[in-house]
Amino acid sequence: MSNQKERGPSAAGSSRLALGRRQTVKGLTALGGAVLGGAALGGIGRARAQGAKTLRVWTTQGAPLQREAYKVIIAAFEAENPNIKIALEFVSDNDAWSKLGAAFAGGDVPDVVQHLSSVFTGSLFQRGLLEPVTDVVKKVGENDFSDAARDVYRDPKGGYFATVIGTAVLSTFWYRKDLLAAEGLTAPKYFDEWLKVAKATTKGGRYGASLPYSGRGFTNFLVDYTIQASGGWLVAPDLSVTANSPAVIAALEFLKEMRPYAPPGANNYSFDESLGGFVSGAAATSIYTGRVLTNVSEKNPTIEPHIEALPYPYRRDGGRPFATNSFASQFIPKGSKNVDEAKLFAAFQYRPDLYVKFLHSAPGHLLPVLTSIGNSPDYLNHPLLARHKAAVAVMVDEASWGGAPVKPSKEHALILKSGDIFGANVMANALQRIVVDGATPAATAAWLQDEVAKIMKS
Amino acid sequence: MRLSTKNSALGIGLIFPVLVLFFVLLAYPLMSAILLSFNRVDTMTLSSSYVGLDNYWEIFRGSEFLPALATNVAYALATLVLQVVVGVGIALLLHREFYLRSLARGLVLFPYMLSTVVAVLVWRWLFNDLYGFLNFVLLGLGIVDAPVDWLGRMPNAFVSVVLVSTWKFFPFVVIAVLARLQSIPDYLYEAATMDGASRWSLFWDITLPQLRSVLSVIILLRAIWDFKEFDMIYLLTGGGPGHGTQTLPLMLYELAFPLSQMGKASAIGVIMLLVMLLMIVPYFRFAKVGGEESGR
Repeated sequence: MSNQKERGPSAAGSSRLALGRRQTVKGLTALGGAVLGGAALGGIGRARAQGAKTLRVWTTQGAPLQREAYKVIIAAFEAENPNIKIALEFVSDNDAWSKLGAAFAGGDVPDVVQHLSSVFTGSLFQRGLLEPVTDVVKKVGENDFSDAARDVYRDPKGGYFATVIGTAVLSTFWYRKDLLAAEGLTAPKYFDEWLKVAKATTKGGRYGASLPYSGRGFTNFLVDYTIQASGGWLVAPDLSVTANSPAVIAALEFLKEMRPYAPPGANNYSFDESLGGFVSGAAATSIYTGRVLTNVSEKNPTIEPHIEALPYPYRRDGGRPFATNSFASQFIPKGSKNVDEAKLFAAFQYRPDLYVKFLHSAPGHLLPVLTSIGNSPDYLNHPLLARHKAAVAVMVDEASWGGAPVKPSKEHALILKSGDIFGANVMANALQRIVVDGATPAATAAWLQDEVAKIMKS
Repeated sequence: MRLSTKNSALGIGLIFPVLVLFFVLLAYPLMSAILLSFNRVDTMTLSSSYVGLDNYWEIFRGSEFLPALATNVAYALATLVLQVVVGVGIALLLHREFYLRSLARGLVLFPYMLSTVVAVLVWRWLFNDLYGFLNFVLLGLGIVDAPVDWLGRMPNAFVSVVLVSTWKFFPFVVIAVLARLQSIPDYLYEAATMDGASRWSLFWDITLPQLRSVLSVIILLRAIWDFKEFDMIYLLTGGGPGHGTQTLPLMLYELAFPLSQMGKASAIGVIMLLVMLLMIVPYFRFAKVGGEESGR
């Protein structure tokens, strides 16, 4: 007996209503399916008709003028390649490694990644996550790249797993000539001189050095630079871990001594805050790329005549002159569905007029890695670069002999775990142990040794 | 009573989408997380190997887990208490008649409507040591001699995070409590007033019992949300200084992405689920007992 027959008249009425609901649900479902199906087919049809592919491009360079330059580059590329559209996405340097991890884990990688530090690119290659781009390098002109820039992403078989799109010398030491002169001091060459400058210029709401002491990002680089300038290595040329050495302890000791002369909030500083501290005029010294020039001229032009650049100071006894290149990379992640188109876009970045356009969007921040561009008047005649010839000369010189975190010296093998080391923030955490938790540099160096060794073995 | 085959099929057909959604959105992710927690997994390559309970053992043996759990519980409790106290207080104020009350009711929702990223950027600017408004005022008034390090020193960082979280989320309490206040019958207050009840007595004996059900839901929801809060803390302090504001969600994130240890991160996720269950089950029992008592 059916359910319906057991019911009384009123129930029969509601049963009819219920059937009506069911029919309505069925009808709506069918209608919804038809609409969705039609829309999907329509979409596919349109996509096929247009044949356009969309390339997802990630970049860490998103300052306003750089965004404008990207618009010009993308417009030019899309005009030459009407079947390819570019979707540009901005990621911060602090988060790029984590976001790439999420992208690979989710199987939703971008087609091109630009301006990621060399620190991370090697680690991606080691995991087999990069498409070869040898043909891109050859198309641009293998011999036009400076030797160091060309070789940093050369794989053991002689091909290339990334291209260098520019290089920034993040270790460049910036100082205020006027503030030092007021104290009767000259620009520091050694750590002890820098400490003296920092002590003398910390007064009246101004600080001696705008340095990062947070547990992430830029702090890792500061510690790495200071270790090398102290005469040590975190990872030696033979890839053994040498974090528990007197030079590393001296480096940590120096950074601890400098902390009182950094702004009070430096324990939370990374890239932007350190740069902001110097550009705002609140600090007498700092380290950063040539982006300082653009930011000072735009945001605080009154101090522009007083700023100057030098190589990073180093430890007087046992230290060594130090400079480092970012060798900002451009690569195509494994899993990209548009590898051929991605290669087209990657090579397009080096078209001389557009390459210069992009470099000029943050003059001095990124230095050219193509010799033809580095020597060209089109590049060199930018007014800001012309006004700061001495600072630019310092950075160009540093770029010519400086190493890179992934390959600190010519003797070093590629440290393919550098991305894991920097991504894990172990150096930044080491410094925080000292300045926040009160650990001694010696105990911290021992801890750092263990942490880095674990990563290298993993 | 038996359903006809046709009706049974229709019933199953109607339930099926819910079952699919339940499986896809709840059962599968939960089971995946539990299974992942027994493996060592590289986040980027997803290469994995079975390690049994090693991930859990390493987490419990490590130096970061217990402090992170303690910070997590302290953060959740502190923000929850402040949100409820501030939220109920402001809801009571907004329930009274005053000029421009509608505007005030709209404005009080502002922090809740603001995206977390924007809210954090605003607060980071306010907290800034060199040109932040708070330090500017404190220095100007001569209350401090040097800028206060709000986010880079403990316990300032923890207090700052709790205060910003309270500011961001208390409007949720206001909305819910205000809605309930408007449905409390006036005759309860009129009768109590005629009996000579004081204002405190009106609140304690009428308003608060009437708010009990809505506060139970608010506390439950906010406790869950505050316990797993990530973006606010990550964007404000990144878990620092040191590990001073590192909670379990931040630890999970650090393991999953910067450190590429998805298996261990999943283990943290499973532990968080268990901790929340440990907190919520007694709460439900308490709320049920309380509800039965007040119903007598």
